Amino acid sequence: MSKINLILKKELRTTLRDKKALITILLPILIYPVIMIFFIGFSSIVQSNLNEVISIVAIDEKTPSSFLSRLEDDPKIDVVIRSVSHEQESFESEEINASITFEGEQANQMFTIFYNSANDASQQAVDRLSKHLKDYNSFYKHQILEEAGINYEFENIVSIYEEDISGDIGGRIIAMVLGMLLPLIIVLYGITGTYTISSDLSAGEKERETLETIFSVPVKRFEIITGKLWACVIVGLISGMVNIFSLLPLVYLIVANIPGLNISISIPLIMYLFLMLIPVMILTSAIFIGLGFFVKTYQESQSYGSLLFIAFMALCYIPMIPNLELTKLTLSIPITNSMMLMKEAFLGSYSLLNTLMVLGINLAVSLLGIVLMNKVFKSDWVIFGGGN
Amino acid sequence: MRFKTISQIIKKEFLALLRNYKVLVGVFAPLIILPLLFYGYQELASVTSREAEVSVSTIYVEGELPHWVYNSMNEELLINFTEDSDQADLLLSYDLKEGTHQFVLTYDFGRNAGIRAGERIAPILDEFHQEQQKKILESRGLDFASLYPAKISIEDLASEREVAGYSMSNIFPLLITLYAVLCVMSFAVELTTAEKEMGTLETLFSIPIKRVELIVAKLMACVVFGVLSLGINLGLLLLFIPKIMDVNIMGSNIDLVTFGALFVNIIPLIFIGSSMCIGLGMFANSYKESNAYLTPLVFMFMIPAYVGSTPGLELNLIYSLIPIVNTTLLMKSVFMSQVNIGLFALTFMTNALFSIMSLVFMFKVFGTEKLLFGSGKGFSFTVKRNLIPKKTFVDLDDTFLGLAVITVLFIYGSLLLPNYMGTFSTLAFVQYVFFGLMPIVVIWYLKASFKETLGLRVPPLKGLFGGVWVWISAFSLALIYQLIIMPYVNFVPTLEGLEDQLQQLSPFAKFFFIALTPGICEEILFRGFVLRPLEKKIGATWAVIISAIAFSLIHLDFVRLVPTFLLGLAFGYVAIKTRSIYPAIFLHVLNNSIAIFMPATIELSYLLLVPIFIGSLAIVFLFFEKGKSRIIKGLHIK
Repeated sequence: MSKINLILKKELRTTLRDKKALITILLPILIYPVIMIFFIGFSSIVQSNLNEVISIVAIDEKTPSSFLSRLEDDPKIDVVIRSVSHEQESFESEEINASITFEGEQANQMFTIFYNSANDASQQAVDRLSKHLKDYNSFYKHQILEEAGINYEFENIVSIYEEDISGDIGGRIIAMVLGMLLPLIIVLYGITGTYTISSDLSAGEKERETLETIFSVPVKRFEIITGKLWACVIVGLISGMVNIFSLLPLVYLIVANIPGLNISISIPLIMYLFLMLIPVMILTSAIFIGLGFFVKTYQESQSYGSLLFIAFMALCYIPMIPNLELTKLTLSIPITNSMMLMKEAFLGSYSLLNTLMVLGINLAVSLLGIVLMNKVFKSDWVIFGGGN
Repeated sequence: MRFKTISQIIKKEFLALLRNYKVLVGVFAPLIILPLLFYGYQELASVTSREAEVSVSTIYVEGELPHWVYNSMNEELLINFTEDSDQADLLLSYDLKEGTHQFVLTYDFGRNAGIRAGERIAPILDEFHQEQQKKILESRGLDFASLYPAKISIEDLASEREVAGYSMSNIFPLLITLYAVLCVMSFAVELTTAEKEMGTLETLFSIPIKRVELIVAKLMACVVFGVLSLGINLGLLLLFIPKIMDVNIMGSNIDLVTFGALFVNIIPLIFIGSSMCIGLGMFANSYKESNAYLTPLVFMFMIPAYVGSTPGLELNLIYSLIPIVNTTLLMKSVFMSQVNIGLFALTFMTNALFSIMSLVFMFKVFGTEKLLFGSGKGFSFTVKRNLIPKKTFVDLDDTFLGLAVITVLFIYGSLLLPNYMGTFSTLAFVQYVFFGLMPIVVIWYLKASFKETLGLRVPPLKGLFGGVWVWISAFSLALIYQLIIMPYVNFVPTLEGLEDQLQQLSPFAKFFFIALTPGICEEILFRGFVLRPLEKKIGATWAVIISAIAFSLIHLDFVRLVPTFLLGLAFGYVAIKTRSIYPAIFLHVLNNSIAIFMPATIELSYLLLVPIFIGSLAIVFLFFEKGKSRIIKGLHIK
């Protein structure tokens, strides 16, 4: 055990001292929130500029004045009145964003709005016009109901409310969304961490020809490999967790902008996420390191590793499928099952049986990986062989 | 340059790349696997949604439902009533109070079963609602039709082709722009770092070939492979698109001419990507190191590409001058068939200029023997302090690492702390602790000289005088920029909130928080800690530019990115010319004071600003640049 510890310490020290590997792992984690802040700021500027744009609308001269006056009172709409209706005109000239034709008389009015859905300004114009028409309609509706003396009765005959079982609809929905996204981010970055350093621990060592040196000291191969595995797992866990912490400010920033919303990311929840992450990290580390010993150079290991990485990624994305339920099948797919349980944890339900089952399955698959890795490592032919 | 030699080298690189299965696997295999996975994912999703559609929702009812509602629900095959409220997906309670039918639906908004049950009941309840309203209307001889005088129909004049173009314009340009750099990356590394690592670069230099020839050949090989893999990429993408949307529409959207135009515009982008990657690849000593250097490069491409794909953004004069952003926006306009020839040309020119700049960078790297064959050193932060030797300047990597850490702490600090300690205390805290104290601690820890690293020298009076003119020219140019962008940006969002709070402060407090504090602390970081080591290692020009970029980025203000950059240049220039940090601090304080105390009523115009700018620039030139040797000699204090 102490020997394993020794190897682990050595590997961790070399990894942490390797500034370049740290940059590769940490930079994206730290930079994403910054990008998001810039992006949100930028889109809000673009959006607010779009909101300031005045829509130019062509109106049929037969349009009732009670409706026309509504449009003319809107500072964001410029009205152009004309007699002939050009139904099939294109809005590409951008002189007009939308047009309205009118038919019928007082009791039976027919408005037709023409617009172009592939044009943002036109889309905005039609949104504004629809809102005015809706207001126009409800104004008349109230007037008629008021005259008949049935306004209150009409509006209140049926009331339908929706409530969440926890009493907080917004919080519940946020919990669901976070339950989808955060586990994905944590696991993906954890895997990225193991992917980045596993090549260095295995193929890199092979390439530098330092493996022979290690073998010359009185340490068993199994101990070496376990030490390496743990170093890889720890880096994976750290990068997954650093990610959570670097994302928290962003999450709080978004939540702070929506009043009346509170999400609680409790310590037990984070502990649970951590617990579920461990077997996943062991699994991916074992496979990546095994691959690294199989190939000859660092570059090869990264190149083939990227394929494995995609395969792991695919497993990570499965829980994102809408309507996917926690079943025996989903619980038996490694990686996917951990994420399904993380999702459940965000919704506040923890099942001991399921947790044990998932831990068991993932650890069993990891064990298989470790045994294979050990086999690879024991065979001199693979480790030092120049075969092809 | 001998073209025969170049073509021979290109041939050699071609063969080497084609024979290198691992690179090819890394580049192409994901492209084959990803669409397959995507397809599988979609299939899986449709299977689960089909299952969800036929799954039964159980409902627990409280109260006596109206017969009509109860019967309608009973007829619905997928709704089951249950007696056990714990087993139910949804609790429906009903009450008839003061003539109002009250329905309350309680379910779990976090789970699909609950949401589905809610969606199934909603139409029944809505129909009931309408029926009841209809009855009321009928009792007065009215009906729904008479209630709403206006019938509305909305007609979309966009052709299918336009709609398809519009929906594609949001994702395709982003993908293509990103591919342009990602495709060349592995090839560039293979052509440079791998060669360096294997030690074959020396062999290559031993044959009678000029460096320029070698690098041109490598660049061409990289570009050609980049273009090829981009083409294959897009081809594969097109193969899988029929699974998602109608291809005929797309075919009609992109005719040969537009396709050619697109292609022409991507080429400079690939040149930028290739030359940057080759340059950085040459910088790195090992494959692993090249990974570390290329990660930031990917972000450099990603950020503008994402900005360009912001919904609602259209190519205009200003955007066409920003590389990458312009390509993304141009492609968007191609998809929406709104290409403007003038902007197209401008975009091409801008990107061509930038590709020339990155070529210059690449040649520089290649021309430097030290970079090509030099070896890196360890990481000084993890070393115990008593093992660190005394030195004049902080090492370059420590400067960058320190700056990165400070930036991240600053961003998070200024986002989170205002919740706990108020805007102005946060302002002072992040400034003094992160910008002021942290660089000083790092310098102390690494045993560098404070005097040299920060530039703590008494500046010559002359230098201070000239510095004021440098600032005036930068300040007037920033104002001119503001005048230019005013029509496009109608408010500065980050400042509005601050403005109100500022009004409540006394003039002295304003001066302290907005002028004095940033003036001192930001200068310690940018014109001391960052500028001096950079100046020593890579020269004054790049030192000023890099520190100004960092300075403008850290302000996290998209609208004022350019003005802060200009001021950063000015302060850096003065700090270099006077070899002291004090004039920069003085000017920074002066600048911020003027920004807060300048009355808003002053009418700014080009007529006023342009002469000021030109005049002050002329003075600066006469002062610092003409008769360089004399002044510099005068400023040189040992």
